[in-house]
Amino acid sequence: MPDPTDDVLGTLGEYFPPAIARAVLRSTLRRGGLDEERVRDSEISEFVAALERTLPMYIVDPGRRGECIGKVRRLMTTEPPPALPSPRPRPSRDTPRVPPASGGFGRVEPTASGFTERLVGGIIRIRTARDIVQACDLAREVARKLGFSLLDQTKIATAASELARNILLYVGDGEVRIGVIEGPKRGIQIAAVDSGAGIPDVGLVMNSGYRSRTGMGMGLKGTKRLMDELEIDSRPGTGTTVVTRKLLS
Amino acid sequence: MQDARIPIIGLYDDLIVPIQGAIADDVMVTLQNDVTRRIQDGNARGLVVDVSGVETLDSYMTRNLRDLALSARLMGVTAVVSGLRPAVAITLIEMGLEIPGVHTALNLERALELLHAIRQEEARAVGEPGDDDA
Repeated sequence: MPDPTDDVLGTLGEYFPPAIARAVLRSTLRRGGLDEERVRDSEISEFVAALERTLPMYIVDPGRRGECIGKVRRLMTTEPPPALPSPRPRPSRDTPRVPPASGGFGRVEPTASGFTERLVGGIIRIRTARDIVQACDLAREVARKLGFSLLDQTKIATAASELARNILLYVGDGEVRIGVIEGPKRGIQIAAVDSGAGIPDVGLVMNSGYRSRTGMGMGLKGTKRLMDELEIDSRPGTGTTVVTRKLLS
Repeated sequence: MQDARIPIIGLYDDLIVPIQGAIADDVMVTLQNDVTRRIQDGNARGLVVDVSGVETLDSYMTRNLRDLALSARLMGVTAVVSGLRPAVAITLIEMGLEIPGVHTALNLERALELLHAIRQEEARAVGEPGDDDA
C-alpha cells in the first residue's frame, strides 16, 4: 500500500523549502487531530480539510493557496482506496523527524553538504500572559539570528507581542507561529491563528479612526506599521488569521 | 518567573521602581497595587519608573505603564518614566503610541533631578521652603 505522505510532502515542496514543507505537514496533521507522523490513507479527506484551515498561515495569496490545495486533493483521489485496513505505518528511519513545534530553532539537519544549522521558528500556544512573553522572545531571537537591526528586532518582537495579546484578550486560546521566509530576500513571518468568533468588519478595525474599548484596533494598526505587510483573514464563526511579514532590506 | 514581583525602592521622599525584561501582565497588576499601597502608607512625593531594562513594550504594556504613572499622579505623587531605550521609543512612536500626561527622563539620574526641580517649583509656588533647605 503506497503511503501518501511522501507525495504530499512532494507537493508541498513545490511551495516551500523542505523543512517548512515538513512543518506545514506536521502542523496540519496536528490541527486535524490526526496521526502526527504520516498521512494515512483512511484519513485523506480529514487531511485535506485540515490543510484548508492551515494553509492560509503559510500561503497568503488565495490563488496560489487554492492551487496547492487542489494539487494535494488530486493526489489523494488518484490513490486507490484501501482494500483492507492497513496497519498504522511506522515512521521509517530515513524519514526526517520534525521536532515538536514548540521547540526553538538551531535544529541541526543533515544536508548534502553535511550538517547545517537551519533557522526555524516555532509555534507558541497562547493561553496565558506568560505565553505572550514567550512569543515575543522567540520573535526577537529569530529576528536577531536573521540579522535584523536592533530597532527592527524590537519592532518585530513588539508586533509578536501585539498579535499574541490580541489572541489572549479576545479569544483566550490560539497560536503564534514564527517562521523564516526563504528566498532572494529573507525575512520573518509571524502568524497569529485562532478559532474564535472572528472580526466581523476587518475594514473597520483597520480604519485609522477606529479604536475599540480595549485598544485592539490600535494593536493591529500599530502592528501593521511595524512590519512590511499585514493581512487579516477573518470570518465570523471560523476564527481569525493574521499574517505579518518583514523582510531584510 | 513565577511569583515575580518588582521591587519598590524608597529613596528619601521618592519611590523607585526598576523594571527589568519582559513584564507579564499579572506582575504589572501586582506592581500597580504595590505602588499605590506604598504611596498611601508612606510619605512619597515622587515616583520614578525606570524601564531601562525593558526591551519590548507593546500597546497593552504601555497602557499599563501609563496607568501606573497616572494613578500615582492622582494620589498627588509626581511620576516620571525614565530610561526608555531608543529602539523602544522609536517603536512606540511608529505605532502611534504615546505616554500622555507622564513626565519622561533620559535616565534614573535625570528623573531624580527632574523630581527635585518640580518640587522646588511647587514649593516656590506655594511659598514653602524647597528641597534645597532640607
